[in-house]
Amino acid sequence: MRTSGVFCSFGDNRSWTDLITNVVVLSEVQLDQDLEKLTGWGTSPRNLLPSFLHEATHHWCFLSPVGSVVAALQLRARRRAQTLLRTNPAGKRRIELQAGLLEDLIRAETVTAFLRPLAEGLSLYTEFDAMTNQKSSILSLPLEMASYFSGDLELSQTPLGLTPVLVSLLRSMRLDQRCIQRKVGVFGHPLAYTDGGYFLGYLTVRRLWIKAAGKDGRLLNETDLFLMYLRSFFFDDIGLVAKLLDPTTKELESASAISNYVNQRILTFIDDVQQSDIATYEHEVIEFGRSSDKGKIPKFLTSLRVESDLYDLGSQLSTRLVEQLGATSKGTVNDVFRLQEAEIFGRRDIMYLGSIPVEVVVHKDGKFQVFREGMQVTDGQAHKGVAAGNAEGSLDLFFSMLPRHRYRVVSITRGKDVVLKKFIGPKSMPKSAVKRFSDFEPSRSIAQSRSDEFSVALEQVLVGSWMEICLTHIRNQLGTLVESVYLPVATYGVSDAHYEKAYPLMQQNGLLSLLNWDRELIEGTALLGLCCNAISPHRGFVSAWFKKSDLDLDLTLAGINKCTKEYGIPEVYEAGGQLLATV
Amino acid sequence: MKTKSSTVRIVGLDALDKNELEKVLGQGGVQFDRTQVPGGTYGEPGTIIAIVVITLASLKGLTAWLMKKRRQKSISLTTEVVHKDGRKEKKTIHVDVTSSDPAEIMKQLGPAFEIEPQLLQQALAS
Repeated sequence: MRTSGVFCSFGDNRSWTDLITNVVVLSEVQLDQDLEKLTGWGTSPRNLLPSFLHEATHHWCFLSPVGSVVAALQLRARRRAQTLLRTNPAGKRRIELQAGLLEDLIRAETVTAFLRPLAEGLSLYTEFDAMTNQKSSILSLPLEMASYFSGDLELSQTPLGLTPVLVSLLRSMRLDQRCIQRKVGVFGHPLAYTDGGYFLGYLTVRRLWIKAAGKDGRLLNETDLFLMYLRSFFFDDIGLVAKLLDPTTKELESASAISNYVNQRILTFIDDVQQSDIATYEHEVIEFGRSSDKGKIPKFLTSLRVESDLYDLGSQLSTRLVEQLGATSKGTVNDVFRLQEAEIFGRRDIMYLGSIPVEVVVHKDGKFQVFREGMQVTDGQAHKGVAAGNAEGSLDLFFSMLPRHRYRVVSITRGKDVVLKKFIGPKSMPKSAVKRFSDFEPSRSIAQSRSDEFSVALEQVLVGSWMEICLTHIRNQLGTLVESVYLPVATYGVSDAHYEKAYPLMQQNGLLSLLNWDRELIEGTALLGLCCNAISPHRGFVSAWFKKSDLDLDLTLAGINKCTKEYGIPEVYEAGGQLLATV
Repeated sequence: MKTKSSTVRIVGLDALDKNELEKVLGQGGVQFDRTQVPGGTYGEPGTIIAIVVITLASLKGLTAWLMKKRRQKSISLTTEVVHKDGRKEKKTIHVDVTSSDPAEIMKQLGPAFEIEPQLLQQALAS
């Protein structure tokens, strides 16, 4: 089993996020046709929203202390591979480099595997469930960004702020047939780690949500707050950073320490998280928003239930790792690669909306035209000093996910020349932001290809080596170990007798064979969960929407109940006229 | 049955679609593939691609499959038609599935897959 570093948007397999570079590709974006809409505020095509939310959630998760350390470990392993290839060292130096490379990879791949179902589950939860309301005091980055891209701008100018915009936007997206089909697609995925762990992760996140809501009832309605807390609990966890950088463990011992830690964190979330932790977390996020450190990543000191000793150790080790990235004074081969590594690392906050190869023509008067397959995409005035002429280039549209950089950048390059870099955003654009992007290599393909070159070197060094044997041994065990952590949570409450009947079927086809491949029942089950979070869990509202959708709520509930009796899953709870589904 | 087009690839399908297509077309009447992310070995499973050779039987099967989705009223299929001369044409087909008469759906598939009118008439009559 080979663990992949690319996380994809479900149902649209070419949308993906690279965990290392945090480069995002949104396959449905047609930059040549929709450039104007994509650079406007609230005008982006709404059909992009599901993929945008999915990938923005991946990006947000990986732009975190844990995501950054995983990327740093992978990049360091690749640098060590390049050094081995280019300098061909012998003796002790060679063994040191090989051992270091292997250690970095074991740690990075182990944690990536153990967090993968959670990462996919969080992204699917953002697509299908996360909702804010007027009582919410904080807002997740993916939802906030979605409101800037596709929300009704006029509506957001009211004193009520972004909430009505988002509620309207998410409601129309989730009740649309396309969203029902995307969720049906998830139901058809195997309840397994293989195939990406989508359904395994989604069921786990839904179960964790219901567990957390049992402790703090407002999470039933403030699903976006749950999303934020769960994401922070795992990806902002400095305790996990400490395990990832622990200098006292090696190889299998490191893999065991990481897997045990993630397992324990899931149990801590289920058993120990209290209402007061959620309130403290909310307070910490609000305080961070008021501070002058908006460009940095927030620190959560107590709300995430990380032991203080471990927190301090993790902070020290991650600071040391960042210092090593910056230490490039000797001018050795290793330092050259370290600079490239630092550059990749330093741009992980960038989320690309689109990037296409184009032909760029600059005229003698400084005006330029951009063409894609012979059709003009855009034109304008080039930056001063750009020579006349035409050549192949790139059109890129991107933005930073860091809270203080809420603007978009359109970049047009021709070869190595930057023809135009245009900032689109609030009037009070900070000078630091403009400065940051003035010498920024804008092309997505160049950014990703540098990382890919490093990756090729890594594969070359590993092939046929003792490191590969060791790594393969660990990789082969990861799937089973990951499933042993997630399956008990995903199928929580299912009796042993039911589990024995349901699991072999779910391992193959998710929920579909349990629901007898009955399209109306399957679509109804998907709509039930969507409806409860998008409109209201009140049976009357849900029933009305089912009618509008040509579905029958009573028949759907009867079908689900029959399935629950036979297999113990899925479950629908009803109390006080309100419905709550586990899927 | 002779048609101008010979094969249609329907992308963006899920496991439920796959199961339904296998039932209406028979296991030998349809092949499946999966979309991949760039890079191959980093491939992530996602949606399913159905590959159907256009014959009288498959046209009827596709119609039966679309009728299972009648609740959706209108269905968009992202397709790649591979013509007999090797031309590949990517297009999105919008099919109105509100009618309970299979012939109404088949009439829409005919032009979408460039089936010769007289042959489509035979299919409708059979």
